[in-house]
Amino acid sequence: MRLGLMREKRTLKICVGASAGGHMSQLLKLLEMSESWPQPPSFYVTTLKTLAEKLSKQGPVYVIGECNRQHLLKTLGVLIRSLKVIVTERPNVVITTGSLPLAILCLSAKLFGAKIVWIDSIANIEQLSLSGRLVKPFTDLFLTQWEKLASINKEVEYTGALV
Amino acid sequence: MIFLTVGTYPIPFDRLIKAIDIAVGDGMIEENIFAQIGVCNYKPQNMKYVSMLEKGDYDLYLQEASSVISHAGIGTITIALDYNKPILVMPRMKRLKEHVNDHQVATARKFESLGHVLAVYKTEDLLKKIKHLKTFMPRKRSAQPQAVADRITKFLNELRIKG
Repeated sequence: MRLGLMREKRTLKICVGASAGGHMSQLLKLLEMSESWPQPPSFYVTTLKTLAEKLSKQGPVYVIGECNRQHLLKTLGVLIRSLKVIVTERPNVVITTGSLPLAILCLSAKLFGAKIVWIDSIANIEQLSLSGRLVKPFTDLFLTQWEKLASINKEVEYTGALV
Repeated sequence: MIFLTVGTYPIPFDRLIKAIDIAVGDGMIEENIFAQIGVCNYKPQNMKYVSMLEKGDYDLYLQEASSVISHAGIGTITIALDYNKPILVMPRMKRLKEHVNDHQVATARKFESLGHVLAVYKTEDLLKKIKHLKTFMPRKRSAQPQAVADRITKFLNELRIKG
């Protein structure tokens, strides 16, 4: 019995990411509180170079670019850069506050067996974000920051708001 | 200094920048304004502006500002609240192709109803609302980032054991 409990826990390679702007503000709030995580994040993913400087003090930063559902070509660019990041780093877990570019990163990571933690942005008050709904079937933990959205969506948890 | 910003979102929000610029030109706003105009096509004639600040500088401008006029992006709202700055938000509208959906309208309504921000929904009401900024006392927001981080700690620890 004891041996089972003593079994060595594996080390996780954690990727954290967020789009520039509000998504990043929320991720930074989360990271301020993340001392109790078993490991600190191994690397960071964001969408604009303007954030790279601030994050690079903490670890390697990858910039995958911005996209939205109206620009297919940009979205393809984000997909290619996301796959590159995942193949290079092979994270065990991706933790993100969105948005669409990070959803694409999550899907890329899932292809390579990573677990996905999605925290839907606080800006989604009346319904889950479109990006969130897109990745939801592939997530291992899905959190919302509004209690009401947890009550009306299956497999969505509310534990509090980041901001 | 009033800090005017449309955030980092990769779609222009000319309506807000243009309205303020014209108001400054007409002598309707006395205080100095500094703007981050993002990817706006409209280039201000009557105030200093940049397209995009580094994240650290962005926070600094928010800290130094007497008040903030912004799109209804949650990032800017959060930082403004952190610094206890009176903020007036005008949401980007899907109908006007300023965003892919109307979540900023929901954000503005929710945060306005909670007393955190002043909000304006029509360009013509902007000047009237700006006058209220000087006396507006934003209500502090209480969030639970530690609870969210702890939920993720639990998830990560389970993942380490499951292997």
